[in-house]
Amino acid sequence: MAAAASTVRRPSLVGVGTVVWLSSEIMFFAGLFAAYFTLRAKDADWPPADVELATGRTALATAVLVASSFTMHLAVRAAEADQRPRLVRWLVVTMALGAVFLTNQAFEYAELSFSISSHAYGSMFYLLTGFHGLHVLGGLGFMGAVIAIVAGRSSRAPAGSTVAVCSYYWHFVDVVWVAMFATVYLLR
Amino acid sequence: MALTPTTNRGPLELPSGARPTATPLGVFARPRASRGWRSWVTTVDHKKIGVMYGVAAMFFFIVGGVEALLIRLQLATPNGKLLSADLYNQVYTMHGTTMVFLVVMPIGSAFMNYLIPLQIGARDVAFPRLNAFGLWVFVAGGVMLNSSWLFGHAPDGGWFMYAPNSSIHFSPTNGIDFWNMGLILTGLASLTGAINLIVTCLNLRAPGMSLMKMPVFTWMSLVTQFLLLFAIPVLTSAQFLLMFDRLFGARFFDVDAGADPLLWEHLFWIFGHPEVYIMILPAFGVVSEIIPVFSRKPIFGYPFMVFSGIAIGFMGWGVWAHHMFASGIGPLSVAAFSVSTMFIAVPTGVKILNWLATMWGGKLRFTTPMLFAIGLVTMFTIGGLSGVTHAVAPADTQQTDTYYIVAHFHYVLFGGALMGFIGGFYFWWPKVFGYQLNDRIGKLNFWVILIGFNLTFGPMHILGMQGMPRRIYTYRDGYGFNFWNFVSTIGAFIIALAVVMFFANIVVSRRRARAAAKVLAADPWDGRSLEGMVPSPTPEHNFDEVPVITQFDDFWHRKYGEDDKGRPVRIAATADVVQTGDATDVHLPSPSYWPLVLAAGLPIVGYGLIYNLWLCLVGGLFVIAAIYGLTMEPSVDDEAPPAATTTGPRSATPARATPPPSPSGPTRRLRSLDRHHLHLHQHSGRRARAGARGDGGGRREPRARHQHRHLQREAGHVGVPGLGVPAVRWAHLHLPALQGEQPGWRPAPAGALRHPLHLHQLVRAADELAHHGAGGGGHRAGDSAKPGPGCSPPPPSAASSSPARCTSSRPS
Ligand code: HEM
Ligand SMILES: [Cu+2]
Repeated sequence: MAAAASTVRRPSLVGVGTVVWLSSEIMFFAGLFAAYFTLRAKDADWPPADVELATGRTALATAVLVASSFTMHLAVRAAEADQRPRLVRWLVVTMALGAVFLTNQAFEYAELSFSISSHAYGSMFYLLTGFHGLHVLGGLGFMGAVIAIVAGRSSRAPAGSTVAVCSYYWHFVDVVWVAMFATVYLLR
Repeated sequence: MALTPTTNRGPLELPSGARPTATPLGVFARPRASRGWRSWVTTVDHKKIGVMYGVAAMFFFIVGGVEALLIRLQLATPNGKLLSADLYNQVYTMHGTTMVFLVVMPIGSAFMNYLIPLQIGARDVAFPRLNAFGLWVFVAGGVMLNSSWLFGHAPDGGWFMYAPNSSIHFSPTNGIDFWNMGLILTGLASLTGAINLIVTCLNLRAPGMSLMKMPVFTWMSLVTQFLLLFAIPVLTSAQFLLMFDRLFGARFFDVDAGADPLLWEHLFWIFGHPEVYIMILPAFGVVSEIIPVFSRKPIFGYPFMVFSGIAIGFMGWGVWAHHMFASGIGPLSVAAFSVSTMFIAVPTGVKILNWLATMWGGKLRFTTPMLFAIGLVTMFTIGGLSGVTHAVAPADTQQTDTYYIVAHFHYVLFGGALMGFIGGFYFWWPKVFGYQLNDRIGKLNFWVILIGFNLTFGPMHILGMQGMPRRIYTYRDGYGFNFWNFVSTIGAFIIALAVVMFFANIVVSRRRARAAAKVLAADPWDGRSLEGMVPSPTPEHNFDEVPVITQFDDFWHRKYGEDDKGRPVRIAATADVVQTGDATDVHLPSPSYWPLVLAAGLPIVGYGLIYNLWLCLVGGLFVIAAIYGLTMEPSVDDEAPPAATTTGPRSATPARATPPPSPSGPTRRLRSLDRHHLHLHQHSGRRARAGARGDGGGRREPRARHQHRHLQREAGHVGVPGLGVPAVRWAHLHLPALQGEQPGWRPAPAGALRHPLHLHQLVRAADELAHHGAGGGGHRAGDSAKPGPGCSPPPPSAASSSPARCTSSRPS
């Protein structure tokens, strides 16, 4: 009878915690999206006439970001196989793609003819994309830290679960962007 | 002779005896104090954190209470002169905000932090340092919000801060910015708490405790945490809109810019209605624990209790616009929200009926906690009924913004939530502090509160129906408002008296308990849930051995069986069922300064956003340094003095005496590996020793195998996301090597020891071992391990299993 209770299996704390946290992040962005749609519904000229978004170029940037999800996945695979150099390589590639995305965003911000105080659309545009950009930036920092602390040469700890958690976050950021791109650039 | 493993030396200590001295960032030495204020500010113990939530909340309760008394003094007579209109606006805004965010919510957190691990049979929460961070960032937020008084002007837009009234145009001082920053911080606290407690409930339950065996309090808390998880971010996003409007020139609520102020109302109440359940559900949980104990019956309709809580949790998202009936949202929306609001009264009614049915035919004992619980049931019912009258939209358009509303929400918040919580204080006080609050004073306390409460808020129904608007700083003579306002003010001071009585009761009871100097029983109320199993006050490690759960109210059923008429009969003496508080071989996560530092950095960022962006840089550096420190610090301090093994008074930090001889061979290595992880659970040593002594009966288990399982168990239990897990996994992969006495293990090179993380040494040591031993290598991390013979472990990815894998089997 003794062994009866000993087969409980539960997933890792950090993994569960990350998923729980990201589900609340969804609600944060949901709040922002709700604001976007509420204002869009109220305003007859949405987006206002002075809004010229670089949709084509941003579509490219979107493709880059989506691609980075795949490279991230390769990093996870490398981590699972405990192939450190490959892991670091894929993480660096992912970071680079993320950086390309951010660069595009910076260019766009520099070019746009409206500001956060021009109109409600401007406020909404910058806040939505800005918060997403901050999340991308945070992801870059996260990956950098993973490389430096866990996956890098100074450590021999297996990086599997750390990288896995990092990838959850990164995929989340990507998915949010796809929704945001569709909303702000395509649907308008 | 037991081989007591008393060594607590650094596992990777050099043979020369040199100590690794590095501290993360070289700023702080690892805190060691187990008593005094230092042990409180650095603690990661869920119980101390719970107590501090309670203390902070009671402090803010006094602040908010004084504000309430100011309001009532101002309104006691017509043409009050105490407060100016401007000051009045600040006072009621701060009163409401304080009571909601700094009193009721954190008292809930206090109970949940303290009780959830105890009720599910865990040694701590899932992420103890995150928990400490949550507490401190809550305190930071509360202090930041209240510091607005000192910086010239408190927020003045009412607790729901409607746009565009909250714009700089109408409220040009910085008050509302403080409101924004403060509540973003307390929101962060709620969020980390939610993540932590949800994972705790999901992952750390004792073996056998399925979800449907969890106590009702834990269930209601879990629902609350999910509500927080999803509701708080919505408020935060709304607050960011407001913040950008006010500080950075955005125009979210500016009609001229094509925006819509109603946007704020929607976002706020999408948060706001779940928020009311966030405030009330923990109190419902509390009384669901109290009533069965003092009725000597199990809770009536446990599944109904659980599912009505869950139903409330879902339906709470679909009723927000009942706060907006008067704002022109259109007849269709009004009708829809009116109906949905009436429906949500159903699961709430189910709860009330269940409590009544639990009491029905029970052997009632009217102790103080029971009185407060009954107080909640009755007062909340009154508040709930007036709430249903708001659901009828045409009625609500008459009631809204009158004192009728004020009456309603005080009946549910004060008569509901707070009443339940005070009952909870009386109920769990012995468990937390080791002495009982005086029952006679307590009963008197109850009646004074009940009378004061009804005198204060009952007349507000009448005032509201007479048409007295809320949020007016005075009224003229001759409207017929004078009499009831005066009564209400008298009532408010009676409540104040009751609050003083409560504190006096603490002082008196404490003094008497000291004088009597007798140890309180573990289970003073003859309770039903697991917290009754541990001594009072709860020892630092909670459970000596994690109990195995076979049914709902397991603790009760260990004490009582049933006779053929279904009446409870004693089957075991309580003293035989409860634990003694023996902490042998328990390892707990070590205290840390970093959560406090991290929380201290955030308000600096907040002040920076308001006053000078350069300050943000300073605060940001704080935050980054703290995050670095947190990540790099092993969650278990290698060099901490031995944990106290009894609950009795301990000597202050023991001097570093001559190190006892360290165990050799694989034992030492094993310990070095698993010491890096949270030992929330009982170490295997005791069992192994028992086996060695030959008194363990059939429970004997070879030590190495035991350690092996122990490590698997621990794999998920790390405070630092990602950092500790791999090490354990890794170690796990090589455990076959560790099981045998492998020669050729060499200590890590000296240089490595100075790295703060200790992970390198750890891994390297195990690495070397593996190479010399089982010829490791080629294992896939995260893949299933290759365990040694005789072991059938789950793969490490699923390894964070129940806390009591080792101590689980009860002899049968
Ligand atoms: C000590 C007993 C209390 C008294 C005498 C009291 C009195 C009042 C009064 C007179 C108002 C109306 C202010 C106005 O509309 O002009 C008010 C508002 C409010 N009270 Fe209390 N209160 C007490 C306790 C509490 C508690 C325990 C809570 C919450 C759990 C609470 C939550 C609120 C809220 C949310 C508001 C609305 C503030 C606003 O309009 O923005 N109060 N209180
Ligand atoms: Cu509501």
